[in-house]
Amino acid sequence: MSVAIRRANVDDAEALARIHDDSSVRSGTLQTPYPLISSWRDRCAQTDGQIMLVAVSGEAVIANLGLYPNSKTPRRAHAASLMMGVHAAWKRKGVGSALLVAALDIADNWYGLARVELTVYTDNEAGIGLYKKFGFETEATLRKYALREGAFVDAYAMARLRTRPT
Amino acid sequence: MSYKLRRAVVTDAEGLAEVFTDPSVLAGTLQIPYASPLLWRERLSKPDAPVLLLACHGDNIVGSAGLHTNMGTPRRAHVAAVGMGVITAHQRKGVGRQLLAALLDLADNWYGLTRVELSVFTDNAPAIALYTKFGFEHEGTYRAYALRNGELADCHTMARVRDRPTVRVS
Repeated sequence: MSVAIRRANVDDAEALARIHDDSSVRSGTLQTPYPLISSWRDRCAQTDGQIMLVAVSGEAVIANLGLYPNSKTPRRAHAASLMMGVHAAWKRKGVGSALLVAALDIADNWYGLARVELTVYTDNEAGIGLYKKFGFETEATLRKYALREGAFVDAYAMARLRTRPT
Repeated sequence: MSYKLRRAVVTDAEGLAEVFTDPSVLAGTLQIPYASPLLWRERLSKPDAPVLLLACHGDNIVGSAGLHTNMGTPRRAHVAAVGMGVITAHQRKGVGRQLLAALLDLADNWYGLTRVELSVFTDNAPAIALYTKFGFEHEGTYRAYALRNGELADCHTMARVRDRPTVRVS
């Protein structure tokens, strides 16, 4: 099935809230149950150089990836963090890869970033495998990073470094 | 030398801006030269402002330390980040120890946090020693974490993990 990548707009908020209101998606993110559509609308507004990409199959939004430059910290302006979520039914079908290709093209070739960083729960093998394929390396293990279904979970901090245009 | 600790208020913006123009404070933090008192005033007046403690010697602010909570992210509400700085003239006199002890008392006994985290430039040996003494453990190293005087420098990430208070329900 063909999947297209486009920039999110505020009208995607409802679909994104729905994707993230799922226990398997939630267990890979920092989202809580009963997501607010309004907070997804805020994320889709993409201020300060933020980029929110969505993957669509036909009309349906099936995944998202946010790229967050450190616009308020000049000494970290060479770095951005990213986070993503894929609809439960669309996992392991290359959707995450397609989003990462698009986001890293922006990071490398249009934002000129030296460092893209992320956190991923240590038991999220699919996520870790995907990030490694794109050149992310594990830099740290953050103990009890977040609460998930009643228990604290560890996360890896991963980063991908690139030589910037000079 | 004795230092008095107190909570920062909006009128400390000028003093804080001055602390953060100290070259060694700049080198040890993510601040930039020509710190703007306006920016500090803004930081201090936000409703979700970090708990910012000041170490004072007489009327002068000689150091500051902040506890940055994650109340806006419920799944990380058990975590806070620490950032601190002490001006060159008052370093190695126990100011950092005093500030950190006060912040960790807040974290442990009044905020009931599980995890306190921080990042520290890998070559900042005195700070790493201080954090280690207070139970922070090395969790990893962020490469090219921040620009410092023209170079992208690495940072260690350290954290101190505690069991928070609980009830025993039979």
